Amino acid sequence: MNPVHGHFHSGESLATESVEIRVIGEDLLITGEGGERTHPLAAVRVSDRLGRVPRFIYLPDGATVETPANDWVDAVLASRARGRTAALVHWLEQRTRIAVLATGLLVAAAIATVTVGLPAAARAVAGRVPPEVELRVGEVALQSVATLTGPSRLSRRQQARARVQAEQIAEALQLQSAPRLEFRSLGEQANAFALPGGIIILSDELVLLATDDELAAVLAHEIGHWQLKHGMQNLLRRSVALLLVAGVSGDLSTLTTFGSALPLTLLQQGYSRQFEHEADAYAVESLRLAGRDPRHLGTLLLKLENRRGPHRELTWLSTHPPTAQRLARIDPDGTLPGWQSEQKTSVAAASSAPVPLATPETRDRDQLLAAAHAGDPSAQYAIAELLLHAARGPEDESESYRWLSEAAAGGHEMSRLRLMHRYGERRSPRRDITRTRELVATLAASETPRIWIEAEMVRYIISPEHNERQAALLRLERAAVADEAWSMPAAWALAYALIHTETGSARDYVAGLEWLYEYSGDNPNVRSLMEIGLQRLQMQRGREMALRVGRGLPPPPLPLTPTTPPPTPTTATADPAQKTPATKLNAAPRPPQSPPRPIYRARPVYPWLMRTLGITGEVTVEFVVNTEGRVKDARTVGYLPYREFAHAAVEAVEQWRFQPGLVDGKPTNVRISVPIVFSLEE
Amino acid sequence: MTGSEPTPSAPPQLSPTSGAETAPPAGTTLPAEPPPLGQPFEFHGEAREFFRIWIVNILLTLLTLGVFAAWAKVRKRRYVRGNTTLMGHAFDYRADPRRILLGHLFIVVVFLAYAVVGEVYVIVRLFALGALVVLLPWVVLRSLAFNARQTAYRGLCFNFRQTYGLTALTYLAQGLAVVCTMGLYYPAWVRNRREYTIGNHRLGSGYFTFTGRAGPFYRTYLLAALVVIGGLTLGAVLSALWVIQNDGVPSITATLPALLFYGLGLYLAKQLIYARLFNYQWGHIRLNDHRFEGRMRTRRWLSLQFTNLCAILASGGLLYPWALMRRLRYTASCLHFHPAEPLDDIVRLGRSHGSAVGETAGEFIGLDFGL
Repeated sequence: MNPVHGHFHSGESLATESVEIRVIGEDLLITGEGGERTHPLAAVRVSDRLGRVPRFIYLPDGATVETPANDWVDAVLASRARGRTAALVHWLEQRTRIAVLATGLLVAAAIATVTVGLPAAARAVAGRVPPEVELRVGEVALQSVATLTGPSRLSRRQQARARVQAEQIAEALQLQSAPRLEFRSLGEQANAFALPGGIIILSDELVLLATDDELAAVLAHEIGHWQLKHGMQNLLRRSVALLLVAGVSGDLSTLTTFGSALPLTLLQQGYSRQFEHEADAYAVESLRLAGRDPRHLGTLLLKLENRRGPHRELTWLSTHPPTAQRLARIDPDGTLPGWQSEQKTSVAAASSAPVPLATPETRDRDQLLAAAHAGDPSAQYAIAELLLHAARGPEDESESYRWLSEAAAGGHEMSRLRLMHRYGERRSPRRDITRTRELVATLAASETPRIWIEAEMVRYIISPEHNERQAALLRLERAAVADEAWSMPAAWALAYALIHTETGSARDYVAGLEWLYEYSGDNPNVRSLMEIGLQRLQMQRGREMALRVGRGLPPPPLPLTPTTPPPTPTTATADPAQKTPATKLNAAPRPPQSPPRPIYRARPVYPWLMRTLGITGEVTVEFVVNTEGRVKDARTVGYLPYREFAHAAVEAVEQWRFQPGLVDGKPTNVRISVPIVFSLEE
Repeated sequence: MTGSEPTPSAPPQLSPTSGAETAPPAGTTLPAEPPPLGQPFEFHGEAREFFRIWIVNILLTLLTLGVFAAWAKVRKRRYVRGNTTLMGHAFDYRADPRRILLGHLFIVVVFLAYAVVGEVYVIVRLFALGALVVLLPWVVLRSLAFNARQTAYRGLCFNFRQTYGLTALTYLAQGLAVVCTMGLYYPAWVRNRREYTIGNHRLGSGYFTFTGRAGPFYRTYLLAALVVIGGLTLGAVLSALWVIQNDGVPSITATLPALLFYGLGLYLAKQLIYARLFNYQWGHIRLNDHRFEGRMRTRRWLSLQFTNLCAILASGGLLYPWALMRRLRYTASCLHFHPAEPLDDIVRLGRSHGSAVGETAGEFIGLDFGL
């Protein structure tokens, strides 16, 4: 065989020597300036062949020969050296066809992994994730959602509506716990999505858009996502996919940069088609179980489809299956269309101004006093409550107890209850569950209205997270929404319970106050209860907070004591404020003149940018309440540091509904101005 | 960050036809072998050839459930080093894949043991964390030494020697200093790590030294920080505009521009640091009295890396080999060697073996020793 050229390195220094190498018999002969060197072939090793990389021949004495003559080395030496596998690998690496084949196989494998392997693995793993872990994942996701969406401006009542539906579905499915509902403002978007751990986010728009049945349907759908662990599966799929991509490409650093942004973008993308179909099927099944019509899911889908006009954002990213396809599955008989038109009318009815709660008869103080002296227990009780809440001093208090005792002696259960509490509070302000249960049992035996039993439970169970307290709260909320015809409106009972909770949190007090605003019945104690609530809030969170809540929320209806009515009616076409001086407790029956009374107040959305920058502010909005109770000509007045607040405030106010102001008993246009505070607490 | 990153032991920089044109004669009495002008590093790797090697090795790794990864790693390094030549001689990478496989196995076993035992006894995790900190310098040291000893030029192996104590001082103590100074010490830390990695390498009796100072590092990292902040600001403004465009309706997609520009800023900053420090670092490296010279042009590097990124993303990773070859060819073309005396004077010192365990551990944890 012909000799080939190479470079000899002794391994002792960097010196290099140009040599010729050849094989003679069983020996390798190296010839150069430094003379001839001979090594037995059996003792010589060669580096594996790799592309056109030069070969290195390792001689037994530590010297090397570097030569580009790959073929020669293979022919003469490689077969003797170790490395048949290396030769095979090299053979594979040289063939373009093999490379094409390998590329095809890898791409196919990657696609198969992503479309089949990963989902299957994710499904298997997601089913085994402990609930606590799932919940934590969900909470983390909720935090990122919270930073990207606005706070809900739904009223307590609207929120409770959804909670009641969720509870019902969860009960029908015998779930261990109801899903946790979070209400967020997503601007115009009507949307709902489920996070791992049973956290369901509902957008304000959706709640306002959907009827109760439709809310139940959409909640059943989201509960489906939760119970089928779609959220966890998605999460697992994505993280594994990211890892795979990073591992194969070998470049982790750039990927982590983009990878960290990925979860957020994917959140927007929602679930896959398959998951949607599964959740739909789950919803249909659970609605049947709950005795609801599954087709409501269909009507809601249609509504959403109709709404989604010009405001479609990034639809190309959306993986939701076409609505038609989903409808066909939900309602295979095709009975939807006619049913839908019927539904439409009821929707229209539902979306108009909320009907005020039933109002018990009102009595003025003189009548009350007269009746009380005559021995009417409920009048005695009312006087007692008035005195208690006026809380002008110990005299009033003892007077109040006198009336209460009398009413209780007359068989008035509420009075008995109040007395018990009063004495209980004096003996030991902190009560435990056992004691509360005893109380509840006593109350139940004495046929106290259920609603008050619930209220007392809320009030007296010390641990705010206690199950029984939560359950009682939920039942009250349900009652408040359904407005069951109990002796007292449930909204009032709720507000009462929350505000009177001795160990309550600021959250409780704010919720109680909001319910109080919801409550539109006539009750002489609205004002005082509100003051108690604000006072407690002040004790816990300071004056600022109380002031903000007091001013930031829309003005409460003050049927009897409008000493400082927050909405200052200013003269418009009529001037009811001057002709109706503050009607004290002893005022006669409802005057023919009355200012407009709010019956629905949307809370303004805190502008995203402002919230991010931590900017607070106050805006005064002036508007006219027309004879239909709608808001016209809303605009901001006065000093205005930020336009964003003005926009949000006007937008919210425009959705308010009032009972129109009356002049001589006739509805009249009234101009009103309301301060709206944007604060970052709570 | 596998073997493609340049380390002093195997300058990954490779270039085909770059210039011996500008280098001034550096040596005094140069024998025939090293010409009087600077010697260019050259890289002869070819995208098509490397693509075939790369894809076949990935496939084999998958088919063998990862066992072949050790061989694939060695082949890739051999391809890069073997195609890099200086004065007509290629670099040799001699690591035995079986040793690397052992290292892989060791890591897997330790990791599994940690996962399983740590699940049962939580306290074990704390100890493991402590052990990890204590082991880190050792891992760094071992992996540098292993790679150096497996790399040869003209029949001589590189070597890396340092004590555990000094390694710990460099990586742990100074790392702590970075934390304590809220990152202000970071550029100096990078510089000191360079001095550590470069200054402890040798090639036979030739010792590498690094004389760079911290100033240029500070300037470069300040610039990089400004780039990242600029990217973030631009993105935030775009996000805000998006929100305003949508009538102030916040949405999740509105954060996309901010995140995207942040990512781009980070990538740009990384490339900027590499390019701007390349010339300075190589200009301050000596092998005994022999000099190196870097001639990288920042703008050229940025456009090269940007197109590489686009190509890799657009092709779903399939163009990675092309991008790698392109990058290595350019880096090599930017690097020149100025011999000061006959290289033959460099002779062999003793010989010892590094352990593959440390080397793999270093990679497994993702330590990055790129220069």
